[in-house]
Amino acid sequence: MNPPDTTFVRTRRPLDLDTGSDPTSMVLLDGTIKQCLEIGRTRLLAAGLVFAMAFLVVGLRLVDVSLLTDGNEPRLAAAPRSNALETIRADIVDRNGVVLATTLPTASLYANPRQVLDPEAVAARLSAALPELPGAELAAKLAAERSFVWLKRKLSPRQQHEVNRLGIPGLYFQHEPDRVYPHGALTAHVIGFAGMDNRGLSGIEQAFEERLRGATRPLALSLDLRVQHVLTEELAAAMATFRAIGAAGLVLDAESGEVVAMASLPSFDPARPGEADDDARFNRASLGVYEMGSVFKIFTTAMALDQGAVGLQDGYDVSQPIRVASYTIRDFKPKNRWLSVPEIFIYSSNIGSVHMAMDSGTPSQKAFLGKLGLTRAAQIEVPEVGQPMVPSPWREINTMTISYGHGLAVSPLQMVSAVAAVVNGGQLVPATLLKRGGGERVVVRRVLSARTSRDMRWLMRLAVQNGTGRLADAPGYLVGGKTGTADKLRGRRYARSARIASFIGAFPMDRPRYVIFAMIDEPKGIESTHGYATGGWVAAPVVRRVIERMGPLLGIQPKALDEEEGADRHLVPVNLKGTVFAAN
Amino acid sequence: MSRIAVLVWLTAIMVAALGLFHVKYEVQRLEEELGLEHQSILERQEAIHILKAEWSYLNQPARLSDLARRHLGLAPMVGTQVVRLDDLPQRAVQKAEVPTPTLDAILARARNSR
Repeated sequence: MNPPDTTFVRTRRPLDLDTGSDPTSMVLLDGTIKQCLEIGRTRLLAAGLVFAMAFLVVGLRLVDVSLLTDGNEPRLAAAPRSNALETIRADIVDRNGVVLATTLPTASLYANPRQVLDPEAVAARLSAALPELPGAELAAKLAAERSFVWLKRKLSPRQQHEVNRLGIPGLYFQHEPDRVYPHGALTAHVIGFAGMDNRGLSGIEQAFEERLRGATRPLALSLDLRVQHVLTEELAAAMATFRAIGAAGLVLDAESGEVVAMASLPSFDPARPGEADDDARFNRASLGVYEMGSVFKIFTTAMALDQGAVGLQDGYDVSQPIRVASYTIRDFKPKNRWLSVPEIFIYSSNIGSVHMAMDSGTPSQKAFLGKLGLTRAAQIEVPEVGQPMVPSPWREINTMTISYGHGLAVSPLQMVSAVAAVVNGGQLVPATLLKRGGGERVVVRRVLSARTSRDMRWLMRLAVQNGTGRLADAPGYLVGGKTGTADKLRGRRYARSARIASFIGAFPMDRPRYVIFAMIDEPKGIESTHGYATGGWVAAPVVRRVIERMGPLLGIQPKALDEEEGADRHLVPVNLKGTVFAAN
Repeated sequence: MSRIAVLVWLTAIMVAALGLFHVKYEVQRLEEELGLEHQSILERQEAIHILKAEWSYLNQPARLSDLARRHLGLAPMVGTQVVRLDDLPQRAVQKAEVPTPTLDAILARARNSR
């Protein structure tokens, strides 16, 4: 240390200020210089301290991050996920998982004409592989002074393979997703179709746009493709036989309300919707509304029985036609005698039905049909839903004509839902096109008593056994139902030659599982039906064949013929050629 | 003494560096392999997706029924062809003389079958 009394300090190490030649020379610092050095030393110390602190912090953090904490460190490296194939639009499948609509990668062929060496030769080879492309047009495209030209959009895999095999330089593929419908026209009206940009434009594709877009989980419909095929094939056969202009059919699960099949003919190819005319794209089963004719007598009879206006033992004299205003209501095949209620139903007597409806009254008919959902549009997933044509005001004459199915036009879909309610114990189940789990009934509303439902099942069975619906009887399946023949409205009057022949049935009638509707639009009578083109001759056989074919498919146990009648029968006198029938 | 320490440290650093590089390249290689596997899984899935669509197309009911009619001589089944087991008449069986197996025989058979 320097002695405190000296004014000059001697630095511990000699400073090399000016000469530096002599290490032993001492530099004496006076007050100012000393002060400067002191300041410099303090600053250096301060700065050093700051840096030391900073390094300490960094060091501590380093220890903290690398040794003490591992919270931010993933224990497993993040792997690219490959467990689900990303599609831009989810599949649509039927109730058994059969693919009805899917999105496939397709290749579109384009060319860079600048890289094509010999346009003529390339065009010739290419049009040999893709015959639908004319060679001359191709050559013109390939000779163009551009660097990009589309040759063909959305090739099939086979076509892509063919083109690839040619190995022509300058041709390239652009991958694009495309919506594919493996079953084509068979499901066209239900599924609908998607446009060029893969956006749904009709049917389920449109209704579930949000659900399908960007999803991978397939959408399961209530349709059963096998039943859909059976129904479509039988309807098409009937259409061809009777030279009809169209047909529609539905199969509905009477318990759950699921639509198992929905067909509308003529159909169209959903891959080329633009080429189909409006008639083919029109969904007759849900969008079309028709005056259904005598099948409405199911509702008239059910209403009269449910309200106690008539009993099964009652009856009416139907020998006199009813004259109201300028109308005369007659029977198609007049019996000219007293008929019991079951006879009115199975012989399809218009006069008897009018009497029954009048005994129930206009307000109750309006309320009853409203409860069955026949006076407002059906609730179903597809956007193509027809608005029923309801008379306004609902006069007495309307009550009379509606009792046998004229003056109120409803869609086939409304028809099957209402009949399902009549036969399933009296509960209206909303129809759906989506698969429901294990036979559950949702939002059920009672519309008629279980007792009436049982009587109606018996009456419908009787109509098939002994009445107008005989041709619908599929042995072993206890088919019940009602025929309907309605003249079509042409302008303001009914046309005698243009009619709708329909049949609505359910089976097996001891505990109905399925309600089946078949409708043929403008059938023409043929020799084997003795010139008749009525529901009993045209539509009933369709329903029989559909039931015969779908029964074994869906595992429905056919009954031996003699065990048809159940244990608890009550006798109802039905004057059918002097016989008495037993009701269950 | 310090020289040995320096040597030891240098060796340790070299070993650590080599080990680090080795692990790094190994991870890189495995990641590449993983990427390729994922890509091939996606390709397979896409192929399965396409094959499912083709399967559905080939299973068109109209096509199947046509094939069955032409090649197998089959026709749609009708309800009258279905018979329940209970509906079959009882077969008249003549009871053959079967010796009642002894407990030993049963045990022996069980042992053999194991």
